[in-house]
This record gives sequence, structure tokens and C-alpha cells, in this order.
Amino acid sequence: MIYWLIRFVNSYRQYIIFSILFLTSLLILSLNDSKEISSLRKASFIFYGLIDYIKSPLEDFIYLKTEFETLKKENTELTQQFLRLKDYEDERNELIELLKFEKANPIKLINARIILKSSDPARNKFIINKGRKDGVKLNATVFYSSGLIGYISDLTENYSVVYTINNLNVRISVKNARTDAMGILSWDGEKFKIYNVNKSADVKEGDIFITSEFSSLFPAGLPVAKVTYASQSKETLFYDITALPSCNLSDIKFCLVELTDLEKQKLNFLLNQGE
Amino acid sequence: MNDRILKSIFYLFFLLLFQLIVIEIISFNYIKPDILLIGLVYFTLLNGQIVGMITGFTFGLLMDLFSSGIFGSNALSRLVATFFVGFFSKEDVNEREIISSGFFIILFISSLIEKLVYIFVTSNVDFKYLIIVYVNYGLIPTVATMVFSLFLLFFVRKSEVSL
Repeated sequence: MIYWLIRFVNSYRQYIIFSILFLTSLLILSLNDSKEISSLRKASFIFYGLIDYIKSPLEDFIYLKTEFETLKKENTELTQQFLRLKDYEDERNELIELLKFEKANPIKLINARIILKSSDPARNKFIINKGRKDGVKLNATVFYSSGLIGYISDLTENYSVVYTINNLNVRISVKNARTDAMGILSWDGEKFKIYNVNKSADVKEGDIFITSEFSSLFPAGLPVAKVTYASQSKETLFYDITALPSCNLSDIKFCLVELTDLEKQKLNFLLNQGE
Repeated sequence: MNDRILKSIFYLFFLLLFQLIVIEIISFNYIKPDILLIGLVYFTLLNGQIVGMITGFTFGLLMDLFSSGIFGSNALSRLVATFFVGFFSKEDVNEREIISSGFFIILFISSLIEKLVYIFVTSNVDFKYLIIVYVNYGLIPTVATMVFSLFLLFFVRKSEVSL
């Protein structure tokens, strides 16, 4: 019997071992929720934590670097997108402002895009995308809803050069919108100054100066500058006035061009003849 | 226990760590090669069915312990896989003789068996979804294991040539 048993075990040992191990596995599986296995699993978590501790720097090295690069790229794209959208929003607001102005003023106007801004601080000028073909005339007034920009100094079929008010050669006859005090506005290469305002006149900081009726180049009533500093000089008979332009020339992207009417041209002709 | 078995067990430990750390990191979706299984198949073919089964069971348990899965699932699936592989083991087989086309066929079938048992034990899926689950969690990792084993073969052959 024993011999037979030994022979049997010897012949089928692999099946016996397989069956024992198989049953052991099933037993372990069935005991998965038991207290002993639970405590063993808790111990396994420590091992797993240890493995995780080892593999984390490796994972960081492989993935975080890639992720960082991807996020950086994504961030750059989003920033560019955001800036583009901001630009579109600014343009939209600007155009809405101009449309409102155009509707409120019956004079014949044309909307133009500023395609180039001169970087010379003493002789500032803009190039706009409207020219003779669009009805633009020499010396036509260029302005924005918030105020005067300048005048057309030169033009081609499709483009025009605008001499802005911050130009050393430009002198504008202006008056205080509140008190009608007259003066001459000019750009000294650094800031706007308003000369020849009599000390007897009433001028305060914050006052708006508009184009006066004496201006042969610009129509009367256009806002030009806002007073930032005004003092009565003891040495002269006039005020010392510093101002800021009503229209922020560095921010705008569009402008309005007045299509010069014949009446104004005729008046200019008569005035020049009189002189 | 002879030196060959001790040496093989040392390599299997290395493969276990490699499986738990490196493969976990480089695996992508279902593409997860089973390096330990490659080692176990090789070990069983080299040392016979009984030693292979005991080793498969033990390393399966270790894997369960380290990976905090269902305790005993890896032990059972690797036991069944090595039991199957054991039928192809021969006595006094040379280490170089094992790496042949037969090895890859045995590895492929044993991997499919191992995954089938593992899915059967661990997942409580409906029979109608079993095929999809088996393709995702069984067939794809098996193919990944085969590709990885080809790389291993390439390195083994290269090292033989350089020697």
C-alpha cells in the first residue's frame, strides 16, 4: 500500500503539487476579506508606498518634464490667443465709438485704419489706408471720437499721410471750452503747451481746449487738449499752460477723416486772398 | 538547489522589480508587457514543471503583495501558466536551446492563459463583455509581451555574438 502510494505520488507529483498550490491560491482568494489577509494587505501598502517612493522621481523625470513642456507650449498659445482677442475687443470698441460719433455728427466722414505710426517724436505722423480714391483731400481734418488727431499732409491714390498734432510744425488756434479764453496750442517735442492765453482769462486744470473759429485748417469745436498744469507767470502777461491731448494718439488704431467740403475750401481761398 | 536555480531566482527578483517599477511607468493604456512572465516561462522551461510551478506561485504571491491587488490572483494565474509551460520542459536542456521559435509560441499561449485566469478571478464582468475585456486586458498585453520578448531575444543574441 505504502509502496503503491509512493509510486503514485512519484508518478503524479506535478499534478499533486499543482492541486495543492491551486487550492492554496483559492483559499487565499476566499480569505481576501479576512483579518489576517487585511493586515497582510496593509503591510503590502507599505511596500507599495516604498515602490512608489522609488518610482516617483523616475516618473517625475519622464512625465513632468514632458508635461511641463506641453503646458508651457499651451500657455504660450493661450496667451497669444488672449492677446489677439484683447486686440479684437479693443478694435471693436474703437469702431463702435467711431460709429456713434459718425451718427451723431452730420458732417461727411470716412473711416480709416492707421497702418503705420511714425516713431520720430518731433515729427509724428500716421499713414492711413484711405487716399484720393476714397475722396480724401489735402489738409482734410483727421480726428477720433475723443478729439483731434491732425490733418492730411500728403496723399496718394490709396494712402494718406496724417500730420498729427504732436508735430513741431503744427500750431492750432484753440479756445477754452468753458470760458472761451483763446490761445495757441503747439507741441514742444515733449509736451503740449498752450501759449498766448491772457492772464486775465479764467483757466483751470482739467479745462478742455477746443479748436477755435480762427483756425483755418480745422473746423471749430473739436476737442484738442485737456489742461494738466496752469499757472500765472509773473514775468509775462500770459499763462504757462501744459496740456494732454484729448485723444490718446498712441492707443488708437482707427480714425475718421473729414471729406473736405467745397464751402470750406472756398472760405480758405477768400481768407488767403484777403491777406 | 543548484546554482542555476539560485541564479535564475535572482534574475526573477530583478524582473519582478522591473515589472513593478519600470513597466508601471512606461505602460500606456492596455499596452503593458509582462516581463515577469517571460522570466517565469524561461525559468520553467529550464528547470522543469514542479520548480516552475512553485516559483510561479511564489512570485505571483510576491506580486500580489507588492501591487496591492486581489491577494492570490497573480499567484493562481501564474501557477496555471507555469503548469502549462511545464509540459514543454525537457531534462538537461541547454540555456541557448530554450530561446527558439517554440519559446515564443509557448510564451504567447501561456500569456493568454495567464490573462484569462487573472481576468476570470479579478473582474466580475458580464459574459457578453468578456471578449472585449479579454482583448483589452489579455490580448493587447500579450502582444506587448511578445514584442518585448523579441527585444530580449535580440539583446541575448547580440551578447552571444560579442562573447
